Amino acid sequence: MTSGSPAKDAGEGFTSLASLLRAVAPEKLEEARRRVVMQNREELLRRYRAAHIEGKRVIAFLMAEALVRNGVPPFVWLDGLALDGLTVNQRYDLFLADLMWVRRWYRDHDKVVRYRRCKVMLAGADHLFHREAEFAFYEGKRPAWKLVASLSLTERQQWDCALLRSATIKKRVAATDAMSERVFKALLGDIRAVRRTATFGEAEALATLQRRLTLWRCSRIVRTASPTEIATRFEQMTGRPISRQAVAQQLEKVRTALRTMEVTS
Amino acid sequence: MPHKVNFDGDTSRLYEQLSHLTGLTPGELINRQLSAHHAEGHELLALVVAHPELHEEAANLLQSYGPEPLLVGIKRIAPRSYLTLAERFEHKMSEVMGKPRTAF
Repeated sequence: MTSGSPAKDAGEGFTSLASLLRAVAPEKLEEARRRVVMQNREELLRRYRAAHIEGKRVIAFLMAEALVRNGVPPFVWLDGLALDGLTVNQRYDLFLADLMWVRRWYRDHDKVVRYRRCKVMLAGADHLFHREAEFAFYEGKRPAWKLVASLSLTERQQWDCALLRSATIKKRVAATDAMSERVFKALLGDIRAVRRTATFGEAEALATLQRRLTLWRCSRIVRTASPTEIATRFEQMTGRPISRQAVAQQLEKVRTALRTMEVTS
Repeated sequence: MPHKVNFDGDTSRLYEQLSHLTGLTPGELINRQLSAHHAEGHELLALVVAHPELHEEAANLLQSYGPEPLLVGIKRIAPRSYLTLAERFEHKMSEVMGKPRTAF
């Protein structure tokens, strides 16, 4: 999703998020957290994006906490947005989000990490987490691939993350993005050929098209092609559960449509 | 950055006992307790940045600390239109979330 390259953000210096959090009275933060947790997934995503883009970093952080708690991985948060021009502070906030995700959903990962400071970053108390994260980020001068290596992140964990991705994962994301339009057109052509009925009108056709395109994208993430794993990714991306049987059935239809249109995935 | 702090007699005895109780050093204890008051310090500095002419009055709030809460003192000396950091945060929250249903 992002270049992860060293800082190219000449216009903005690095500001520690921990300092911004400390500048807000604890009771105000708690009150804000109480408001945030009342939001549903879609509201959280919409508001996170707005806060992130507008540089409302403390508020974006509170949304990020809630999204992580709700099991929505960071790669979903800014899905579909161009992230090439992120400032150093926006990249740091995404780095923190990735770490928060790993801390919450891979609780034993610190045990496989070799470096002591990285272990503290993954398993230490909140104030240590912020301190070590700032040290590791090095004001944007340390590239993402180095952080990925230091944290010994698995391929699956990197797919969950927004910023912490190796060159291999980024290439696969770029390839998926490049293919998306052709795949979309192939699936659109296929769905147009389906006869409309009283129970399958334009709205249903559009929903089917979106579901198949998302499943295709999920299948690009899951190297093993496991329908269970693809179903998990689908739920992470959309918030809607899907059975592994439905995944297998829908992906077969996607493959047939792509073969017909001679699109290779 | 390490700082050397001299406690008065009562404070010194208190922190020795608290240190014995918790296993934390007096420095660690003070850091923990002070972190709850960081926001007040930031509020004072933000006021001086926005209104340098209030430098002396702002400094006096801390020099004569208590019993008036620092934030109350800041509101007392600041221009009526001045928004504290907490108020600015609430405004930003409202922009993103809409108005709260109850008073913030």
